[in-house]
Amino acid sequence: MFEAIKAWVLRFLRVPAEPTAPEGGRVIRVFRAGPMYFRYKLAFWALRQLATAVGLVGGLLFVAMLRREIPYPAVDLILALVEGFAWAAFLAQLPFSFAVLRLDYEMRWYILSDRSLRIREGILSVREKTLTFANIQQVSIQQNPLQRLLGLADVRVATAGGGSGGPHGQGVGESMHEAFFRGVDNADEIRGVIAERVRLHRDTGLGDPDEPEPLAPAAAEPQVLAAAHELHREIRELRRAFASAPAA
Amino acid sequence: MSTESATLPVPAAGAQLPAGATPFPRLPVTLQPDPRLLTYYMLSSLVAGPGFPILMVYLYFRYHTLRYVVEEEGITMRWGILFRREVSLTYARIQDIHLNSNFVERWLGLAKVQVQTASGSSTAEMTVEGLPQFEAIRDFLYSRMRGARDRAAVPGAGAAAELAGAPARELTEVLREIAAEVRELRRALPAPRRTEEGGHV
Repeated sequence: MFEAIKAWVLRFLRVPAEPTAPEGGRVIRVFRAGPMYFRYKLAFWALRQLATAVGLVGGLLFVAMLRREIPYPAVDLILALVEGFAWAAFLAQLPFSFAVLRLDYEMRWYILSDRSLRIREGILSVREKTLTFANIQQVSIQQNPLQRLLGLADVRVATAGGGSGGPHGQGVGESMHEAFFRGVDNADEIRGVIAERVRLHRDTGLGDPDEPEPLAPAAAEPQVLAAAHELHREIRELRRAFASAPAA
Repeated sequence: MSTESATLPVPAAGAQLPAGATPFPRLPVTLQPDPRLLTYYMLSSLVAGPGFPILMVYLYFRYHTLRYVVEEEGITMRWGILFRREVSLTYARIQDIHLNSNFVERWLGLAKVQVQTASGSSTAEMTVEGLPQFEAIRDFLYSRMRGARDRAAVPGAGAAAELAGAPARELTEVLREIAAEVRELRRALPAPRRTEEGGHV
């Protein structure tokens, strides 16, 4: 039943198929959000729904009170309709928002190849980020008390560049220069894999060309140095020879 | 690299491109957005509420003047009719590549490729939109960005090191030759007081 609904929703929303790894590299691992991540999101969802329900009940009591005071039947009818509509909308969004929650949990891919990482998430708005390890500036792990209890963490990978949170609803509070592995239960492992790859790059990751390190100045080479010393010695001797030569 | 991309065979549309290949058989190439982008612009301007006619006019001209020029070293986009704008960036400085699409864009078969460099702006430095071959463009940009290929694979890297070593060797030889010349010159000087020579060398 759920699978059928899922297939239909994915088709209707034209969600693209599972992402492929960035090309030209060997795939190391594909991570998914931990099973606890769903429960974590579910707890927030339940809390939100509960708050909405409490608000609706409060509204219902207020409207009931109001309807007793107002003598006009037309206003009475409108209030009843508004109230009914609010409840209907609340009940209708319950399965839908639950499905979105579930699919959002399922539609997460964190792909690590040996050179780059790709993160794909989202249902309504599908977001995919690709960045190479050569450009990574920082890797951090974030965990709140509830996540700690569930053994989850968010791994944040940042590249160079500033800017505040995404302007066009790019994830919640995510800047364009960071990527999150949300709700993973093996944060240390992911951090380790990334850090190991980042360590291989000795440059700053700010757009330096992919070229070998510049060679040291030629003078630093020992044989050049020796030759220069030899030349210096010879010229000094020449000067002395000139100085001591009889003035012709 | 130019010769390499020029000789590569053109893959069939939608086919998986081999690593390092380019969806553009010849560079530079100028791309124009698909007419579906205009549909998307019109739909998205309706969401803007009361200001939609102004936005619609702006987006209409943006659609008609939007051009992407894909070159060997970088990509340039330009648009605008009264206030013209042009954004250029080099592939080597790309930091992140985002491929985003919302529900409407997916129904139209479009997506946005957002390209970031290391600057402080909160929006994407360049948004490549309205091109149906967005996945090929993403792969193309990825293949050109830093770190996407092995260092050893950089063409001519080994040869460059060889070449850089050559001047050092040549310099050594020249220095030694000059030293020999000076030595000969000193020896050729009139003989009288050459006794000092042995003391120092």
